[in-house]
Amino acid sequence: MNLQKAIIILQSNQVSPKKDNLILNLDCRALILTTFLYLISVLSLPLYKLDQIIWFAIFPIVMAPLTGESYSKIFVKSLYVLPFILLIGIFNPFIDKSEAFKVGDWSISYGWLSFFSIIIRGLLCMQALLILINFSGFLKICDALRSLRAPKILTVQLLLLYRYLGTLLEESQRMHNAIVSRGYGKNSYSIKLWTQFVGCLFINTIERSKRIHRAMIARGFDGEIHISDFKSWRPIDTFFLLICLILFAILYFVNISELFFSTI
Amino acid sequence: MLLSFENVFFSYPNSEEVLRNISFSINSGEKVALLGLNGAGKSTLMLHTNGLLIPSKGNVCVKGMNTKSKSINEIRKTVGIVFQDANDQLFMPTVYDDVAFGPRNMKLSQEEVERRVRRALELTNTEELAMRSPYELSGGQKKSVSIATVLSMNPELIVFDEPTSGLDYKASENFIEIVKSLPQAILLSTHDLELAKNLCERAIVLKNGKIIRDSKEIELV
Amino acid sequence: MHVSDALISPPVAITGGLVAVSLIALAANKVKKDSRQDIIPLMGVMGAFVFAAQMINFTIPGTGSSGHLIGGIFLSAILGPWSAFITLCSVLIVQCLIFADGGLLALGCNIFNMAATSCLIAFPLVYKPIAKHSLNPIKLATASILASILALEIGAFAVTVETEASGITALPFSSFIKFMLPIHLVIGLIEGLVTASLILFISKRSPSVLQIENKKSNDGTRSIKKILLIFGFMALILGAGFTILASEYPDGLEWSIDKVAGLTEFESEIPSTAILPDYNSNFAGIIGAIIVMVLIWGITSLLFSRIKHHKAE
Repeated sequence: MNLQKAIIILQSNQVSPKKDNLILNLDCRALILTTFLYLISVLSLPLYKLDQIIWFAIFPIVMAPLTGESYSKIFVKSLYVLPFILLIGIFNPFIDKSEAFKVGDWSISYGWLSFFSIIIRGLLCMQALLILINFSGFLKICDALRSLRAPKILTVQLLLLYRYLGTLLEESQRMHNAIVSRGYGKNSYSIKLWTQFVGCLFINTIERSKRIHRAMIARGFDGEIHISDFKSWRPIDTFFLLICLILFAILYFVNISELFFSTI
Repeated sequence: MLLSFENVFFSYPNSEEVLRNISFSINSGEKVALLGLNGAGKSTLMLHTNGLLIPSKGNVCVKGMNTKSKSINEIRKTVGIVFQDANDQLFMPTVYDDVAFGPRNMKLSQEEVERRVRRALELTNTEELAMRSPYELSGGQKKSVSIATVLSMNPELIVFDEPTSGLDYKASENFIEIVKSLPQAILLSTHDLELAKNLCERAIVLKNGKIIRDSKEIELV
Repeated sequence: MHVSDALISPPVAITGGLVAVSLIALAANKVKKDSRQDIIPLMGVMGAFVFAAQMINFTIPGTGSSGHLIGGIFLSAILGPWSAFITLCSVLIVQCLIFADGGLLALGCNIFNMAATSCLIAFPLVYKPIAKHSLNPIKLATASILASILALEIGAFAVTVETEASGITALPFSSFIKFMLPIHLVIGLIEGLVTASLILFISKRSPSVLQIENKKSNDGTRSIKKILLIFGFMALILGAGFTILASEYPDGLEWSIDKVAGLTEFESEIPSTAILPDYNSNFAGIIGAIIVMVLIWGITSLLFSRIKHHKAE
């Protein structure tokens, strides 16, 4: 991921979604908990139960459009996770050759079965994460963390990091543009040039932190940063959580494929 | 007398003197421009107004309180600084939180904080920006919000450091409009003589750390 | 080096999460006692800085491929181990929850593998004792390189243990580790060189910044004792975690323990019938499930196509 792409992703994170949608008005904590439950359920299924794992796709397929983005876009974005999984997962078919089942005359090995399971799991987990990000925006997630009693130092740190990330990324982009403009075709950084660049960026950042601190003190900063209160949990949030819990339990304990599609 | 500098000398550690024998005072409601070339000592002087810097020699007093004393919180309520780079001043996740930062530090009640924030946003025409992130605002919007962050503390003197640098024409006009409507005393450090003439009735000129002119006739300057 | 959700199991992820949460709580406590007034804004912008710096690639001499700074040792040298740990955690959290880089469930493991190994283990055990309070370039360079190598090797080992304990990959422990350790030795060396280069640059331009951390009263020896305590604590949690959960997840864990215990060869076979009972409806089931999913996708796209994001004006 390069600077430009990172800036775009950061800016799109700040777009506020439409408020008249029931799902989008849910408390972020509800979706965070639901996402965790989903991930745990998907990842708890043994690898050989690929036909059961696939059913878990219901969650991202339905949630994606409800949170304002089409599932195809989410699906395509989730492919980003593939290279990392394939690097390790690809060994499975070659190591594990014991037979899992037969399709006509072909014998499908456990290695291949687990390989595809790994891919599907990876995609589903990534999709759930993307939906969570899409739904809340980072600030709401920080609010949720605060309400879940995360240490104040961490939540303040996350907010400040979020605040200044764009500023630093843009500063880096400008410096990069300036260097490349005088590079006369040279597009990459030697370690020496990299050190000059990043070293300079670092010193500017230290100066910036001093100025920010000054501005904080000028407005009475005493070491504690006070943030707005978060909203309270509503019955609809409990309802959503319960529905998802029931859904995941059904998908986990009941092999729907086996019920409807069994062949001998 | 709102602000007074009495024979103030200042030098940074291991550095030569930046301020030399600075003496002047500002009264309630007075609008004063601080002029001078880069390196004349304007920024250093400004940082003395609310005790961010303490003189090596001499005294800076705000409503009789010395910046070396323990009344520093009271001083910082009275004197608000709008820094040159709005990015340094706006560090909270939303505009509302930034404007509420000062009042919350003053341990005011939630209702009072809400009241002050709304008023400050109103005075700077930035009400609709309340829930936005400072990062995504334009330069002019950031500047207006910076002023709001200081106004919410109900200061009696507002110090501006190069307020229009980096602002386009429209944003500058907007800035002038806001400041003209404020009753507080102001100390405005700028290179922009037109701006100084527009907003201030008095000018202090700094050169090499010394005041070379303190005139009520800004034209002469 | 980010562990992906796909390759770990919930018990491992939750254990990692517990370890990370404990370390964060401990670090939060430490940072609160930090006497530096400006530590809060400093940590904030340093986090943003590290994030930005990680996006700027340099060319590795002699190979033509590119690398980037990770920054654990560097941050620790500037902020001190505990503040640096919190800062790096925040970077990892932002990477996950804004940029979807790294799994959500695996976040705890990633925090340990990348933030804890450099800030809480390699820095106090290697960097601090060698570099002490000096600005001697040789000491700084040696400290950076050795600490970075240690951090990355421990991280690589941790990733291997986590992946193998999850039992998802068929790759045996011995092969995996033979693959991970040498690669991360090289990565650690490069990280060390680049960190050293940066620290030396700063030691010349703005040495007071490096002394920032050193102004604190002797947290060197105390930190090491704390680290050993943490190690013990973590070993307890890990052990407990695996023991308790082993009984609930016989498949994955037995299988992996089988592998770790019995293997020297590259190939292996899982015990067949014990783990694949009554499983004969696979293929049709898989296809059927996929078809239903596609149908649901089609229906929901049509139903909900009107719900869209729009910018708040």
